[in-house]
Amino acid sequence: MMNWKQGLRAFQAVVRPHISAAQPTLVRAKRTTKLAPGASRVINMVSVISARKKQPRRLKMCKEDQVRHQMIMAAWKLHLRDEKAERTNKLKAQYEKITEACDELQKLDPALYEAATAREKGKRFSPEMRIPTDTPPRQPWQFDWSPPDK
Amino acid sequence: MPPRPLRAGILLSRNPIVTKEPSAFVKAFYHYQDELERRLMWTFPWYFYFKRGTLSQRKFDSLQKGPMPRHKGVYYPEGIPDVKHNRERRSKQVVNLPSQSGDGEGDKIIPQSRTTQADEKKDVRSLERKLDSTLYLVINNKEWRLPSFEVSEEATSLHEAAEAGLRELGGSNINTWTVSSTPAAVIKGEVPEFVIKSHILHGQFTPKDFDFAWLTKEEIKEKVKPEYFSSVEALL
Amino acid sequence: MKNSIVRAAGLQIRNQRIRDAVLNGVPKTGPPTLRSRWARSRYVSPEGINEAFSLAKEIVDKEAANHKSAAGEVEKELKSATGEEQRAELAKNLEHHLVKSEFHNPEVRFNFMVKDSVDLNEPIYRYLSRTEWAAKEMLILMQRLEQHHVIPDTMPTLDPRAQVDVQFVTPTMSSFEPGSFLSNEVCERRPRISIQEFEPIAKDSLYSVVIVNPDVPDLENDSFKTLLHYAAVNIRISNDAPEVDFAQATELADYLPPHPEKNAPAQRFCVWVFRQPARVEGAEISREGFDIRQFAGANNLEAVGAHMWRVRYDLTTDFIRAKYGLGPGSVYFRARTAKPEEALLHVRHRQKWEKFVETPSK
Repeated sequence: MMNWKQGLRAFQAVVRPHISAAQPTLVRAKRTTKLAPGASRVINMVSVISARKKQPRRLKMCKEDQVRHQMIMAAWKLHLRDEKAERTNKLKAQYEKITEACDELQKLDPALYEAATAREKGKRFSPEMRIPTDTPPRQPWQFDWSPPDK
Repeated sequence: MPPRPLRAGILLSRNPIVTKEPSAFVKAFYHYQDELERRLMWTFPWYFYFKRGTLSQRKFDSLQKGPMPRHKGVYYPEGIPDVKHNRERRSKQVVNLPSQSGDGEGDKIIPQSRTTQADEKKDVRSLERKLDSTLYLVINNKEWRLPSFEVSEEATSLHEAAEAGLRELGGSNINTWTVSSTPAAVIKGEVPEFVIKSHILHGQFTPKDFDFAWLTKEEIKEKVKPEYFSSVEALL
Repeated sequence: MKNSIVRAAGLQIRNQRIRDAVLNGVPKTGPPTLRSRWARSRYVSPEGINEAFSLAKEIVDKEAANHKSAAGEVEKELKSATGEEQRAELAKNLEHHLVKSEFHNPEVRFNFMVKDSVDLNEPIYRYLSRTEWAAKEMLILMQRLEQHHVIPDTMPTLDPRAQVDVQFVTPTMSSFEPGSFLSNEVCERRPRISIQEFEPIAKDSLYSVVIVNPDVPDLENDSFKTLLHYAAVNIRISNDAPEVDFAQATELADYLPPHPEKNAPAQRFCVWVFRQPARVEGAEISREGFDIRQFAGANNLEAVGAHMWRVRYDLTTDFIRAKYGLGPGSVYFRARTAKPEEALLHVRHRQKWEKFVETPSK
């Protein structure tokens, strides 16, 4: 990595190769010499990532809007909290159902219970499962599927 | 072989294909946040994308609605313009992109509709209905309920019995992925029924002599008996 | 169903135009809080804020209604509860629900932001004030009390629950940070004290204020002793009336202005505020060698707040001493000696003092 001074020297070496890095001079008049090859591209690149002239004005809200903004953010937090609570409660209920089923199965059929609670090593999600998208594919469902021949 | 004193049920679900429709508040909140972000964005560096003096730059330029310029001695009722790099710094910048076809509207992508033919026909047997919610398979065997099967004495595990039973009932052209060999719930009754969770990935369920339906949680609540629904509600 | 929630009139924004702007969006004429027409005309609200606000308000109002109904239930329970501990627990719970029911109310937030019509009888305003105080001023106070060893030199410790503000009568009447150095002339007369309680207290609850100086040189023991500068009991304070009304209080000792001695270390003036369980009658105190711990223990006082300032000998000290007849005071050497009495420049200082008292400046 270069530090900023080295970077500036390298930049100047490309833009104005006739000026030595040891004696930088400011050119105030209109540029008369032609830019070195590739220099305009470098200038372009640097100005794309620099904030100079590109930043908008600071956003200043009046007091009314500050209060309104605060309440919107508070409502968003409440919304997230409610969503999370709903999900947690659902998972809790499902977990209790699983425990209940396992206890019942152990009483009824110990052999099936052993098979049902054995560790499933290397179990993975199916790669054919699909993540929901904002819009559906052209063919939402593949109806004509047959098991592959073994 | 006599069957065991229990049954293996299956909760076969089709996962949502499209994301859930956001609520009005969520939509409004995202819009508000988006507008704030656009307001605070840096000016678009057009010179990075369009080379100076080219036809494409001219095309791009002609589509831009420039900001109001600032002149001395002019009264601006909405504040003095603060223009830099051809952008009004006090508000968001609107950038109009030229289209490939040249109609000036930009290349619009027309997405597939989130509602399908099955939704319009109200075809509860189709897997293409209600793309934004999870559908569950219920069958009408004397009464509407989740499919369940006898477990023979030879069966070694519940989930295998359930999967085999499903294929016997609805044909083998069905691709499923069973979540776990552990039952997700037990529905108590004369013969307890252990429910195995599974997802349908491809294919379809085509039974010969049963009525069946792919329903959402709310629809199942209307269709099945209340006491049966309360025993499976937590799973849906 | 629209969630219409009944709110107290004291929680509303008083200015109707500002209230409309907060609840229904900034009007076309611009935000009423901006003073100049120029600023109002060029103000632009962020896009999409109005739609988001009206939908967010439904969520917030639903939450508020839940807490309101919970508060109603707790209140019923509180009426029938008998045990002391149970009642305290329920009262705390009630306060929590009352605070939460107004927590996101934009009108309350606005009133608190501009510090207008903030009624400290409302739990939400007490909560917001306490939060603001605990975020900065309380931390500064505790840091100063510990840094200057007011804790444990005077009282063993402090669980700060009330905001104590001390103001001396000066042209600006401004408050000062705990631990500041003040001029002797500034603290010549008794300060105005306000005791802001953040917990719900009964109207006209009783409080005591004691000002002590633990840094009076004690030459006999080569140490320091405590001098009582002010003590008042039976001060009546309410949540919405924090100013101490000295005329209604019982003054045990009137205000003695600080009069430090030359070249002695700076003196700390510690203001302690106590909650009284009952009226204090006929308490006997002596200024010299005052024991604040014994005083608090004997009268069952509970320390809830404190403040402090420091003084040094300065140009105005001799005027104060002359004005209130406090004597010439002593002057110390900077050098250490085996016998502290020798450090006094008795003769020279007394001569100077007599000359000063005879010919005071105009």
